[in-house]
Amino acid sequence: MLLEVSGLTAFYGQNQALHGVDFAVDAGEVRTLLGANGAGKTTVLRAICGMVRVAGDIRVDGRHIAGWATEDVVRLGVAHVPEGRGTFLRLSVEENLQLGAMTRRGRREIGADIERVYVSFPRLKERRGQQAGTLSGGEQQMLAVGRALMLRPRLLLLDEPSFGLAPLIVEELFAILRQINADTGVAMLIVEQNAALALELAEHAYLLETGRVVMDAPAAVIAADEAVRRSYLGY
Amino acid sequence: MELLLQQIMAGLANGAIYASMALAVVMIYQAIDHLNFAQGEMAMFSTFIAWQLIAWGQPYWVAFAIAVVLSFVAGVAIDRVLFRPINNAPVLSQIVAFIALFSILNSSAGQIWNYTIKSFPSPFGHEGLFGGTLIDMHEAGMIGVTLVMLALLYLFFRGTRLGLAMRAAAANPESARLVGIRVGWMTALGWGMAAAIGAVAGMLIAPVVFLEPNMMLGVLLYGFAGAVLGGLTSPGGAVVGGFAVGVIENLAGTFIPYVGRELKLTIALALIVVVLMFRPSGLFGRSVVSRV
Repeated sequence: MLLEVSGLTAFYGQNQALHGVDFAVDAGEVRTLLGANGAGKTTVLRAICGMVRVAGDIRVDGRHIAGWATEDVVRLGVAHVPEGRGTFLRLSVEENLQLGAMTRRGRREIGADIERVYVSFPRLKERRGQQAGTLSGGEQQMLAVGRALMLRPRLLLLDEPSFGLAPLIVEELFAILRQINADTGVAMLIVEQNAALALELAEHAYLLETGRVVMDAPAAVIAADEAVRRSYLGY
Repeated sequence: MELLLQQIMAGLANGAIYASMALAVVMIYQAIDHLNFAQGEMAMFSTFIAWQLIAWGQPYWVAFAIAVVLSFVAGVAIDRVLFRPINNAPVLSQIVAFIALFSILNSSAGQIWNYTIKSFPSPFGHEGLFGGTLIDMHEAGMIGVTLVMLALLYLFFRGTRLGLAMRAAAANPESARLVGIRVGWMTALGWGMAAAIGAVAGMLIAPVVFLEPNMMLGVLLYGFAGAVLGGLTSPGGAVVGGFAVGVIENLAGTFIPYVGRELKLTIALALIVVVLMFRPSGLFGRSVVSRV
């Protein structure tokens, strides 16, 4: 397993946000974490990247990384597209992409990877010199994904990639994510409110409720279960 | 006319130093969101180290280089030892730490080198530039060295990966960590660079104001005024602000009756108040452009 999480608990001050969460993602796989607002989805991603205080076990490639500094987790090839996208608003589009490769060496390869991102997201190429803060929401989300890919990650964590985007843009973004997974074999863990789309893309899904995993099943099974869909996923 | 030009040139020369101090202040402000009140004392201490090296017989430029390097190392050390442990402490605790650093540096300089004023050599001399009376060699040197330093910093921040990483860490620390940047070290590097810039400024202004433990007090106030005028979020603005403050100060001191030498410092403070009242982000401080 590329990522294995067991008995994960997390706290914000005195408040416990996760109560023993177990899940895993294998190399090359796409999995999704679903659940309502406040179920703890974002906290799970932040816990993996050392951005909240945690207890329990997180393993990447068998290495125990709970309690590691964010910068060190990133160096294992874990790229995180955070809530709010984490764009460097005052830097240019191209500088944002270069920052994604900050832990890598080799100017030429990095340049080639930037070109590859531009192939996936042609609109970013048109705006390469522009301040990232002037991009539309959809373009910023594409930039955030592009920046994460610049790490050449083995695991991509995506926090609500569809948030605040027009439906057509969301469709386009998910199609590109599917393509990237097929082309590069990067594993993905996607946190989504838009369950229908996430279940189309992912092979396996976990349903999170108030900090606990309440369902753990292949995406197709969850998508076909009408009771679950109505009560948890709202569609 | 001759007098006006002379005063403008002299203002630009002093302004170069204010610009350097303003830039040092802004660099640390960008990294940790606080003004470093001890910036001037750090520069003063660096200048004393250079003075001591010269007194021991080192050539000027050797002493200059050693002082800059030592200041850089000391700046990094101050961040790592003093400020990193109180990173998440309340603002007031951090300000107390700055004041402590201020008085430690001030009184130990007094203890080591005493409070009598010392003359500090100029590597450029004080003859008129090209034999004229408009500007002397040292004033021209102050402007020249500052411009070279600014150009190097610009190239560093715009043209290197490390410079880009430092800008990213200052702009958005959490995102910077998510791309693997060691934000703590970027902050320390910012401290080191600010200390080195301050050292250069201190050594350039010392031949003008004479060397003593309180020599940077006024200079730092002008630097703050320059930084506020240009905008605390804009390094380029701070530099322009510093030059502007130098010129305004000199012209007001010469041409406005009653101001004279005595009230020049008041102008710096008045400028800070006025700018904060009418344009809190400074002339060049931008609010972030964003669409969501």
